[in-house]
Amino acid sequence: MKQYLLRRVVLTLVVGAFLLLAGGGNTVAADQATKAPDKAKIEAARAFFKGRAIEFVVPYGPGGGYDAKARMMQRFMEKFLPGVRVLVKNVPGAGSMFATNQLYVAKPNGLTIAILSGVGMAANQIGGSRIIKFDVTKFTYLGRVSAERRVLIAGLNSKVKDLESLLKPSGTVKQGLTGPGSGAYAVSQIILNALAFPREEVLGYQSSAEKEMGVIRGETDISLSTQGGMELVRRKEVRAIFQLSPDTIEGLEGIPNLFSKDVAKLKLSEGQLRRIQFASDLMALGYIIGAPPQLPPERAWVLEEAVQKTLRDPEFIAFARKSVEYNIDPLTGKEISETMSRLIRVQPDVKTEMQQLMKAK
Amino acid sequence: MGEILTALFEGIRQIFVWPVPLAMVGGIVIGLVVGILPGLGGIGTLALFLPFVYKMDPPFAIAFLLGMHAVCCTSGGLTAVLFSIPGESSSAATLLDGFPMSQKGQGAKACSIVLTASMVGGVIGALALALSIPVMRAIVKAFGPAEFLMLVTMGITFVGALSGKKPFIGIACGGLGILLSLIGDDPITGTVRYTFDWVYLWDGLQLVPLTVGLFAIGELLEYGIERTSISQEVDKKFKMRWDQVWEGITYVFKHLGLTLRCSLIGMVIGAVPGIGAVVAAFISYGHAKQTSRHPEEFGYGNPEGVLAPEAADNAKEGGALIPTIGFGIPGSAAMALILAVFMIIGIKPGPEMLTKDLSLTFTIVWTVALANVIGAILALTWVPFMARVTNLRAGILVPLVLILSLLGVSSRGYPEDILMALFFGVVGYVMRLMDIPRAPIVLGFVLGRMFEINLHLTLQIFGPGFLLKRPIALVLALIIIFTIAHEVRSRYRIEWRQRNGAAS
Repeated sequence: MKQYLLRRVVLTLVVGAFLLLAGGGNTVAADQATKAPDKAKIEAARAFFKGRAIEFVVPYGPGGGYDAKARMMQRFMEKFLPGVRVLVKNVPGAGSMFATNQLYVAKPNGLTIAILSGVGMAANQIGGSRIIKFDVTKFTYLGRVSAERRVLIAGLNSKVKDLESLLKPSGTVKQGLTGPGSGAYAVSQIILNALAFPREEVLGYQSSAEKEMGVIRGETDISLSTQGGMELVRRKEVRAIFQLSPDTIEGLEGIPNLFSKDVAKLKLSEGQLRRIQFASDLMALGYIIGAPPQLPPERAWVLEEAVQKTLRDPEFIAFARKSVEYNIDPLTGKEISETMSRLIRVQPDVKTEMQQLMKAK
Repeated sequence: MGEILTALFEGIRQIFVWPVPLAMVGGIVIGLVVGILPGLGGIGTLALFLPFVYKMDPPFAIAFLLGMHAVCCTSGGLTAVLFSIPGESSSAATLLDGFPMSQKGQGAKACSIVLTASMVGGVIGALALALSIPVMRAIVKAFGPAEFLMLVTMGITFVGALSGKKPFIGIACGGLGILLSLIGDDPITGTVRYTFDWVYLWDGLQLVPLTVGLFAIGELLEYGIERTSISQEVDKKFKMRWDQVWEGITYVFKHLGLTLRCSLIGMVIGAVPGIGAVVAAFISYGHAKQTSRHPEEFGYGNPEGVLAPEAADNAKEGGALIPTIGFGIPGSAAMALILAVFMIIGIKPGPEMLTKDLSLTFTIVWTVALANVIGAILALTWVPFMARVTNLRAGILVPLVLILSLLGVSSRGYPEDILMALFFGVVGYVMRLMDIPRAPIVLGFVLGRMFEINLHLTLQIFGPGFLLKRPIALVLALIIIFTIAHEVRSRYRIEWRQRNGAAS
């Protein structure tokens, strides 16, 4: 009799403990993808959105990559949210942090969503920036549009002709940059620091395009660029030295990819490899869609469904590829939350380096 | 050569395929209206229409966007002339002489000069764009930070020309403008300066609240306090000043040399990324004053002072398209938007625009040229009606224009911008009372940041001996030194003569 009771009690305690652990300690975002809220609540949420307008915030001015992606998504999201209007709004400032701060404290009613710089957010938080008012693990994530990809370009007349001459150059390699203190800067430099070649930074180019022009003109040797640089490589105006991408960038076949097993050829130390892996995880965040924390799960579910359907719609993918050759790599909100939580727990040496890189000089 | 001609004709043919002309006219009308509203500019409107443009065919989208953009600098000068309120920041130079013309009852003539000069300048800009196609890429490659630095320095030396009779106060104001440009984040290292922990100032002072405040609101305060109307003429009977309109049109063609030179200045400056319409306008104004037969009349209603900036700021658009089309480097913020649209509708800037897609490039060129002509003609028909506004009394004028100005200022969405505009309005009013020139502040402000950026880039890339490594920069530097020496010598000579003349 006693044994029976004892087993009962232990079982209850174990199950109770398990339930307690499972129920608490997760963010709302992580939960809502594992168990969908019940059908009635979802229908109620859909009814809430009908006839209303959702503000889709872009944290940069009009005309840039973020703006373009948001506007491309806008009409598809309206298709998947019948009766709902989606309005794109530009809120530039402080390198996208202004709008991100704003989103964090916006009313969590589902009527405000934003496209965000995953790299910028995480880098600012890890780097201990004073201007941010958010915690990246607490946002409600709805999906990733695409990972960030970069290519290291070099001028046609530069001393850098390939990976070999980059790592063992005949002189100091001049790198053109826009400016320090941003996530983009930090992630680029943590990789280049890890490669440990003699490098001099030329700061002050006011846009990626001007930075790339500097490489073409021969003012600088290299630049770690995104779309613009890839385009220049395809037009053979510059050379590609290596790429940083979860897959092979179109037009860059045969160029070493440091986010793939190509990196093993470089025989880097463990610390260096850790940094490259960290950068790879960080850049994987790329362009993400988020909503304020504490969003009711059923509304987050409806929004995430629309976002995910948009990102996987063949017509949308074809449109994105044709017009600006954007890769679309969808991820679910839950996967983004998990990546964010993992990134925040970065090792102390990498964290210190990030803190230094995120500071203005 | 044959392909170029074919592309030329194909380019213009595409404009006349229906419904493209409708797009162009629609864009022009919207551009004209928006250009008049102070503070609301090309960029805000372009952004507004982006969602619609994505669904358009390339020739339609180009006609609409460029039609709109080509004329937003045209109508901005009209409010500058009639109310002393710049419709675009670049119109701040136009009001220096345009507004005194209105006060003398010559508002219609001034407006007509604004429109005609804009038209001619815009066409010349488009023409120069077309002519530069073969050498476009070589030009963009040859002009780098060292050359930009010299061009900016050249701009700063024009501060004196904008200062009327008080060159030293003018230079001090220019310096004040440069100081103001330091507020906010340092363009090289990102260090935040002079923000006193106010996050709004992190991006620095904004040009629109500054110019609208200094010029527009400063003037409004004066009208409100003095309770006058703008036109001081005695005879206020209703009269349609078509005669003045015609005078204005012919004036521009009689001074074609000046118009051409200023258009060229505008074009060159437009091709330099980052330096905007404001600089082009002010430098042209300064040039017109230096080459005029009656420089002492500048600031009091010399029509040349209206012609110069207007020709330049329209020509600038043609220039800004050069790096945009040739390399995909936007020459201005508005170009960045246009570039984004180009890419989304499938136009790829770069060598293809000058070879495979040459006809599309010519469509762009023709659109800019035609839009300028059509826009100017459309607006000219309205000039006599608009000029009547100068006879409105302050009680109606002040609230109306104040609301329009603040509407434009608030287009960024930051309420602090309005505070700034009001603050500078008070400053502008006080400066006006004390007869301190306001234009140098704007010039110094715009150029300050560009000077700092290009100085640091030049030093990092070439080191202090950069003049020895960059022949074009060296030539520009010599021109600057020569210009300053010449200016100092002629002032010295005038004073010497005055002193000796008075003595004998």
